[in-house]
Amino acid sequence: MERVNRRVILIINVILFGLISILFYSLVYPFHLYYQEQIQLFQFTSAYWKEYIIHPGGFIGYLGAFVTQFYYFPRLGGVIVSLLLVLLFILTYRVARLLKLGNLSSVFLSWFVGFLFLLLHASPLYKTACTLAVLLSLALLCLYFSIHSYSLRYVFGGVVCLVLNPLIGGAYLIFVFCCVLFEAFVKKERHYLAVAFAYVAIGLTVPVFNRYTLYTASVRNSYLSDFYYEIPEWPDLDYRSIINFDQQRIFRQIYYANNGEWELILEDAKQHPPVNKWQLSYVNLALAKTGRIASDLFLFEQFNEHLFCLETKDVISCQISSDVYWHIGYQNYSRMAAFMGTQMNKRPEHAALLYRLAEIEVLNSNFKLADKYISIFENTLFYKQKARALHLMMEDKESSEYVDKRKFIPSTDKFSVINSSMFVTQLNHLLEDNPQNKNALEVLLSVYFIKRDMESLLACLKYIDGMKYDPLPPLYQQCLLILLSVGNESIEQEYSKYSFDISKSITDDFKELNSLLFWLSQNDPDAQRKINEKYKSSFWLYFLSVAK
Amino acid sequence: MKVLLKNMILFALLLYTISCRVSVDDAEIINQLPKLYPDYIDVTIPYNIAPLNFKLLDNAEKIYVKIEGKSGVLTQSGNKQISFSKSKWRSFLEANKGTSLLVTVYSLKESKWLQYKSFSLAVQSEPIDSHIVYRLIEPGYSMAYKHGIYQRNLETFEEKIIYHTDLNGGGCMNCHSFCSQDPEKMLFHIRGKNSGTYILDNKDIKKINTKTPYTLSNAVYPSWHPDGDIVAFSTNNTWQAFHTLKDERVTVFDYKSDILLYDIRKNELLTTPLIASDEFCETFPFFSSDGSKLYFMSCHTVDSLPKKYEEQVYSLCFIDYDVDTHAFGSQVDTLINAFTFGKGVAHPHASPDGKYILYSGVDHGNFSSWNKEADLYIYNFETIENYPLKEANSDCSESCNSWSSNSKWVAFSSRRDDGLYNRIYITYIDEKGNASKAFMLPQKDADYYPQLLKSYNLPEFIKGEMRMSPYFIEDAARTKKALDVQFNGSEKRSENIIHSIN
Repeated sequence: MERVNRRVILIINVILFGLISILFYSLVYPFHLYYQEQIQLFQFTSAYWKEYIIHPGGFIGYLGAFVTQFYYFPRLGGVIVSLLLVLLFILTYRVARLLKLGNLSSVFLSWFVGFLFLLLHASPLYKTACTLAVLLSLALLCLYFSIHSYSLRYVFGGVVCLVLNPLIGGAYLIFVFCCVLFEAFVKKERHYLAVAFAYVAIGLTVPVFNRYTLYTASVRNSYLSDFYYEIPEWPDLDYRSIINFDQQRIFRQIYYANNGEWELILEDAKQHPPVNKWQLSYVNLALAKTGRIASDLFLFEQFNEHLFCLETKDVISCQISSDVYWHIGYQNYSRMAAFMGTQMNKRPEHAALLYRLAEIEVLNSNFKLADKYISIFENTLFYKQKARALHLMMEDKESSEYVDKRKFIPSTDKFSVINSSMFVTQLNHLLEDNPQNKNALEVLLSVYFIKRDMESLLACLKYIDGMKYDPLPPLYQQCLLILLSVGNESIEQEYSKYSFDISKSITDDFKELNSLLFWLSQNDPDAQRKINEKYKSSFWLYFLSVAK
Repeated sequence: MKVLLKNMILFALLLYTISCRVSVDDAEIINQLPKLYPDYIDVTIPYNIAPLNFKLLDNAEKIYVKIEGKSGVLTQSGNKQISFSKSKWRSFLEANKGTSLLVTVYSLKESKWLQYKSFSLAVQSEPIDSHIVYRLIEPGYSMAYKHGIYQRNLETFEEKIIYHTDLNGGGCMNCHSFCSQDPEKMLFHIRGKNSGTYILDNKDIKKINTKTPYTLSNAVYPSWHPDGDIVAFSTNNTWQAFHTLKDERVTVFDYKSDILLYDIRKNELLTTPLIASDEFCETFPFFSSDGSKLYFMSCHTVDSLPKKYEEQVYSLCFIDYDVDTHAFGSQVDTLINAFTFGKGVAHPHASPDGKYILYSGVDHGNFSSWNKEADLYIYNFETIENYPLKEANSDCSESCNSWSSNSKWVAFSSRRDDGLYNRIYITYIDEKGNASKAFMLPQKDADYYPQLLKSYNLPEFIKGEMRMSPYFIEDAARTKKALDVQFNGSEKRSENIIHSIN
């Protein structure tokens, strides 16, 4: 009866813990798992295996990478993580019970350990290999505890202590520690003190021995492992905090961006407006990609003085920079940013960045090099289709997507760097070489809008005219009305060279705004409300905010 | 029962052996050379090189190769690739050294064997040095993350770490250089964490700080004097410029550079205005094989860099040097004038026997790795000729060459494999100073290179295994304080002439 009660208590707790974990990781917090998959790109090759196995804990690192590849589907990743955590919960309970802890104490310990690892998994720096290593340790402990013959148990324990460290890294210490506890305080059989001491001695010296015989590794990695966590070059997002929803939002955006779901980035941003420069960069990139940057730029607060965070300080900024440059046609710099991102990553096989490198080499007709990158994707589970698509591009040199991109590759050589402050110069360079580069123009105009640089906007009228917009995007019409309202002769002269069509509705809106501004100055509270409601996404309001 | 079991096992073994035997007697002969990766067709190899494992690029179900020599035949079969037994390969080459082998490759497709046109493999009796050292690093730009300096046994496939960023906790290690291919005497730099120049001499490590107020930078490109107590360094103000044209990536250039000598025993830097001037950029020094001359690259200082980067074209110059008195000659002479020759000089090295200088001929710049047109050129002192090594070159960049200790083999980095990732190629230099077709450094797995996203940088032959433990270097890096070098000159470089020790 008592046994049944214990079992029921355990089951209830396991289910409860499992539900919390699945709800959290599948629904609320799954996208950093996707990012973990991106930055390791598991491949079924001997070279990939060897890269792991020559390091301490290489076997579990490889197994962890194998499991992580399924995080390609983030919500599935959440389920997998939850299953691992549930298993951890159960094994912790089992080991605790075998160490003669009481039932409630064991359940409490399971909650403690389970919850600790649940929190750890929320960090993008924490790798699944560590949880697998702990699970393997606990599983071997259960096996060890089940051996009744002490001599057989000692031999088994000794062998496991010897081989476990190079296979799973620092988690072997859990095995060693629990064996010592078991022998010294639970079993107390023949020579138990000597055996406990032997376990400690083996546990502490085996990593040193392995360091000089099996592999070349630092002292820290010999005792721990290279595969439990990593500190890549990371944006200043306070990665030390365990659960960070701002960071999670960026990973969500990366997931959408990598899958070409730019509309979803915008929908999500409407619910959760961007709060940092990386999130804003993705929103602005989504606007550019969906052709809405010329109409909806100010739907989102442009709190950053630059449209995008173009820098190469960290992996995510490199990815943003690469995406932006790819979009506008500055391929060499897109490649440079992607390359630098792969260097900052712990492994060069960063899925999105490597794919970008492959795309660019296809574009540049460097097929041997493109093939090298594509073959990496062919050795994965989930990227074969992408690899095939790139192969088709190579064969079909007239593919429309790449024909367009090739048209806008710069034809003059200039030197620059990846930096937000150089962006305007770079965009102008692109337009000088190719005035028909619509992507570059719309991004350049957006930069001028944010800077409220009316003079430069005036200078771009020739490019706007060249694009033959029909109709002219709302923001451009709004800008023209501001220019015309200045009453400056040279502006009017410049404007008169072109025949822009400003719609009646926008002209009426402009008049109405002027009227509301008058009433606002008369302290009419209704005026403020009407202005905010109707004009909050207009360039006019943004432009006027400089006067406040 | 036991006898029956034994017989059954023997029978099974016999069946297995028979089934493994390949019969290519009825193979259809096709008159074309096989497409091998790596390409080992008509190459010249040393007798002590590791097996040239390869794969056939024709989607064969099975491959078979037959190598015929004066002393015997070596055969090997494989499914995806050919992997020779190390011992059989070695003894076969030993027995056939100094001769040419005939290699015939067969492939099985749709149950039919095809026989490709045979090709030759020349086996030289001059051995290659047993080891080669290189840096494995991503072919990036301004930063370097995980990378290391490795040594590879050329007679086997064994690769060992000399030092690695994992042990150092980060940083950048570069410019490894050995004194006369001696594995026990080398130096390299670490920048960033545990920075300094590390001079390893048998069991001793010296860590020095080469930056002084009188010099442009830390010591950069090194070259040992044959006596082992003097090292020539350049100091460089190096920058990179990133192109926007699709076929260009990066140009590396120096705003300024000078040359200094470092006396290891006295911990002293010394120079002369003739090799450290404002008017010229002097860099990449190296000594002649007898140590009596100091060669270096030189060009006029160019304003408006990087815009005018194409004007930075280096000639090869030299100055006399007396190692006993530390006296420099009174003038600089030009061996190769870039303007009259039509090509600039980069990465030059003298052969140990003093007969040749090998360098990369480039249109501009001193860092030939990023110059697609960079090809290997040789200056032949016997015939006073300066010419490209056509057989060894490709249409991608060839850079960073190294001579073997017997001056017969040259290793160099080439991007020819895919246009970006440098691989080590080896070529034979005959008595007339001509090169053979270069072959890629063999690997155990023929699929190794396509999967590798790192470049081989700065290959250097050494005569044996470098035995210092990486942990010893790690310990020195963490615990030793860098010794500041003394500059033997009283004025700052930018202000006035720097005096030599005389």
